[in-house]
Amino acid sequence: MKKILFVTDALDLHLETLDFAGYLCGLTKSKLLAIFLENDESEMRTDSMVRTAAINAGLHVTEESISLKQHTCDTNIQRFKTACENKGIDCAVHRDRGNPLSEVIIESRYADLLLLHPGTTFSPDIEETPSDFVKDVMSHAECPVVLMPTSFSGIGELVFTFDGKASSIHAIKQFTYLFPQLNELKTVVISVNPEEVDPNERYKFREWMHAHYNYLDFLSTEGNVKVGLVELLLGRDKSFVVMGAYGRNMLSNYFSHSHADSVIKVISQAVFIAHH
Amino acid sequence: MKKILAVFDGLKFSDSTLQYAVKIGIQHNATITGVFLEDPTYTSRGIYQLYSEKEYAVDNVRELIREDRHERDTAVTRFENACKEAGVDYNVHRDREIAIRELLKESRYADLLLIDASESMTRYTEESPTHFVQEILSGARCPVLVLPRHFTDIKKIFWLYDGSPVSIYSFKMFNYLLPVLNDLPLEVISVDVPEVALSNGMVKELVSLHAPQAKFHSLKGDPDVEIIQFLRKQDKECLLILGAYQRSALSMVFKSSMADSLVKEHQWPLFIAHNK
Repeated sequence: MKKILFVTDALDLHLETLDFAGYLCGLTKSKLLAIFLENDESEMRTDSMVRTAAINAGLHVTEESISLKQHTCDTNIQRFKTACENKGIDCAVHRDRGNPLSEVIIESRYADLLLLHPGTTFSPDIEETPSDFVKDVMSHAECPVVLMPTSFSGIGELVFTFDGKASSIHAIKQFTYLFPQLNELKTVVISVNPEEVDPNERYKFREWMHAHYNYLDFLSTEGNVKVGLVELLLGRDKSFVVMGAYGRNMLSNYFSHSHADSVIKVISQAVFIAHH
Repeated sequence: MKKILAVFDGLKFSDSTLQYAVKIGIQHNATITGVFLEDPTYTSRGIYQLYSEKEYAVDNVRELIREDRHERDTAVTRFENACKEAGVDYNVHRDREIAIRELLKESRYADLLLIDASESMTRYTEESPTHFVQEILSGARCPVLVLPRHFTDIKKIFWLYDGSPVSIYSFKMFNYLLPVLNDLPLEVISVDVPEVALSNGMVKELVSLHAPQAKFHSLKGDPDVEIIQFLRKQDKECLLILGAYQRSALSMVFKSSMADSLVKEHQWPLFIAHNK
């Protein structure tokens, strides 16, 4: 892997996610390419929201809102570059002014991996996590997407979800090809109702997994898929979760459920999605 | 990459597939799974041969079946010996079901599939690409390397870039799966279409990160004619990367795909991936 995208709203930069991004770049010796989405064509957010963004970026708010938005974007880019320099990350910046979603899809076509903050949104309304924008990126991106954790203290284990469907094995393969460096980590494969998968296929899947990973564990539970999966996923620590199985709905379910349970646990996990 | 499927027809053993499989297996430290498709509906003799001498018909049929079985066993032994000699890990899968379905299922749990372009799994010689190869190309769940009749060492890589997302996907998969071949000189061939021009900057960025020394060729004219003419002038020792093989029923009637024309040439190994 050589080219990782760091996608961010130009007004709302989460520098704390840079720990995780920097870790992946160092691990895979990749360049970090920041995509600053400025959303000039269809800005819906109110002046007061822009003003809040400006204050978050550390500006004194005295200007008109249009030039203030520009100024905030510039400041955020500068903050990003400085932070990368301090952390020793090889980075570059693309500024995309058009419709955020279509800009991201085109950029993703020419990238190996896309990193995104799960709360990224261009809507003036308050949204649940992951936002509609993030969901759209996840289902249309032309490279795998990782939702970044907001605090990061290393990766302790890999967690794969497997349901025997083509899309779940596709995601696992993509992850494996992108991160060959992680094959020595503890690896857990979780599935709900594993008996539903043809035994012959389960055998082939295990054969493939054992060829790629050295410390494997298989966990499973019976019953309702949604409940079972959340049960298996929550409470894990420092894990990098690969969601190919159970689709996008499962992911929102996972997030919403965990919101109720404990927000901190969820945002400490990175989630990898590769759609098919 | 860890698991290569090499597809063999025991009754028409392909030396080229064996040689490429062993070579790639050594280079990438992968396990080769020799898939010997032993479709019970496929024998080396036609029905009229069986009925030629009516009196001894039953004995005759038995004799022919025995001969076929012997030939299939010999093919498996040849494969095993070649792998042992080279010190490559290998498995043998002898599938006795209807050939194509089994193989596509198997591809889901593999990293790369190797097949000779002239493989037909019938006793007739078909014009390439054969139906069998066409079906594999459109249904395989992992990238496919379509091989020429004779083995040559790969010294150079050509990427046929037509601006489509799938050709970029193919390029990325090649980089992830065959990192050793990645260090060979890369040349990008495109026949100028507006979309290519539009996103040229991003392509160059992606290529320059993966292969800093890459050369670009922009050809003018009809892609089907120009690309083949260009390639004929090059050395034989190269591998081509190209995007999918998705064709709608309509386009199949009117126009053969680029991949078809290249398979027909029978000169170069073709790396073909599709993400659907």
